[in-house]
Amino acid sequence: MRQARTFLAPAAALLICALPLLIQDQYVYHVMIMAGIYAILTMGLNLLLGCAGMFSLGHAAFYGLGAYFSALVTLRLGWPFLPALLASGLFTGLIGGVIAFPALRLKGIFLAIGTMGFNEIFRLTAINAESLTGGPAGLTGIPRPELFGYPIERSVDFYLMIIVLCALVYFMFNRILGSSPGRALIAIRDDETAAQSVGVNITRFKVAAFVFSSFSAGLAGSFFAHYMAYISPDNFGLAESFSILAMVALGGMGNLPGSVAGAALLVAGPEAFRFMQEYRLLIYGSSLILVVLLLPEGIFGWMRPKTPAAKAGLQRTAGTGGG
Amino acid sequence: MLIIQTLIYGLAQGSLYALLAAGFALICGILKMITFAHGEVFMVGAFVALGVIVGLGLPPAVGMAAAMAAAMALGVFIERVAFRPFRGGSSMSPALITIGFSIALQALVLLLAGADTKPFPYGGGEFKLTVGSVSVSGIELTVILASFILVALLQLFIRKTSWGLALRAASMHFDAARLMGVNTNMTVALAFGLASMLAGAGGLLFGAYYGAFYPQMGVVMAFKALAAATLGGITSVSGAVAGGIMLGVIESLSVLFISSGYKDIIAFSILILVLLFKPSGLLGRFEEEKV
Repeated sequence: MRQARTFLAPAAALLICALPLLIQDQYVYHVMIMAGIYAILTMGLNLLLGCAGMFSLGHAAFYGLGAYFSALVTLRLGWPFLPALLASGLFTGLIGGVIAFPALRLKGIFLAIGTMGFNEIFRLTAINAESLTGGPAGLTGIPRPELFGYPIERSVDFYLMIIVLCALVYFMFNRILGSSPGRALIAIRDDETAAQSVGVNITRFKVAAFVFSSFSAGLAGSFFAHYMAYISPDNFGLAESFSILAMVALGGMGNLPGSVAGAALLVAGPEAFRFMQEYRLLIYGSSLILVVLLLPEGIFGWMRPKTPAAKAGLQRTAGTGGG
Repeated sequence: MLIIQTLIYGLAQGSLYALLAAGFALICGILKMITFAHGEVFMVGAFVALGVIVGLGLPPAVGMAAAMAAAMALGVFIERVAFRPFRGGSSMSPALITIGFSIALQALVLLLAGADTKPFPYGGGEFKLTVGSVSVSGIELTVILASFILVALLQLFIRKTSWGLALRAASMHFDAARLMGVNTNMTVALAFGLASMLAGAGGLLFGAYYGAFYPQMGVVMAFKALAAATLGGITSVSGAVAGGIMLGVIESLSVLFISSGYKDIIAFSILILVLLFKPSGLLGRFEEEKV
């Protein structure tokens, strides 16, 4: 298994980077770019849910915050793309940190209900605050990115950009999980009281997990806004949060490479069933049920991660406890 | 007088929330977990009733019974697949499976019945109870009365029967109840069955009240009912029912005094405030976490 892994990761990376040489189809690029965006979102939720055990169902709200922030600073203030991308991440991370403090008081399903409420409040505010957000119609004409004087317009360019962004986010989370803060998060997930009794500062680590998770969601949102050039409140509803949750579960709780694969599979999978359009959601829902029943460690449970913290994440796939 | 009229709208809407919220409380009271497919149980009940009433031409009362029976069967099935294998473990897996059920059931009904919104054949418009300038339509009266009767029957069942005693015992202390010889598997299935019966009845009442049956009809309703249950106290049935009525009234008052666009924002903001300051709900009992 270990040997397979040493070859697998570079081979996969090489294949992903070489794809532009093989593929000309714009539609295939679109699917892969969306898979990249969802991979970032899934990794972020995975930190919160799979590693820290916090049952958050409001991830799409952070995604949306990043998208709206980035769209507004480029449209209204004329910021260039790169500062807008970074600022969206930082802004969303900051909001995540602010939300984290009250959210820490909630456990298990109460956190889930509270974050669902937050997600709905975000979506409804985006619909109603028309002067700022454009209301239900959303924001249009969001400028395409420009990197060092080179305009990003072709799908290939967007594809390469999301790969770089994904890789950066992956390494950030990999560092976190492999270090002592990552182990502290796992300890908190497994038994909060025990972790506290050996000196883990629960509040600090939980807030940090929230900040990093929402930071990455903000980056994904910003990229999405500039890639699509159009955003509306419908992009960031509860259904979106549920989809990201399903991707985390499919990849396996606490499994970072699994999160990427889970996102790719759930974005590309339904596209493969496009020829039977009307059965797509039926297949999606039923396979979600079957995967959780038959593959509790996620569909990529065999892909053993290297870091000890992530390994611990695999051994205990259970997320949050009951109440 | 406008305010009384508004309160009546709120009461009708609130009693629909109450039917679903009571179900959330029944389930959450015992398992300390939530189901994300409750809105679809509600929707399936509504469509079964519509099929019986419009398709077979039977009277609405038969439709109501069919809705409750079908919803009960579906609810018990969901419990068996999504909750029983994970009893005492993670609440993540049931959450995901019920999300899967929610997506699949919506898609299934969409395939079978089509995406168009279906009307309800009985308008109920001919009857109107008018006192001064306040008037209550037949359908409003039906919704309020039927919900009241169903909730009262549920309370009677919980308080007066031995099954109800088992339900109360299991929600107080699950393991102790099992050790005392309560058939907990049966009790959990019973909680799901009762919750789903109320949801199925609520589905028909909702469809008749708004004259609209569509595959997504349960999505927003279930989420608001969950908020309502949390507001009143998600582990107590009477708390959840009160929460449902409260949410309906708060919504209709905020439409009257603020704006219809902000009514949901206000409802969810109140939900979050209650969660932060009294997580057991306004009327729920407080459970201290044990080490």
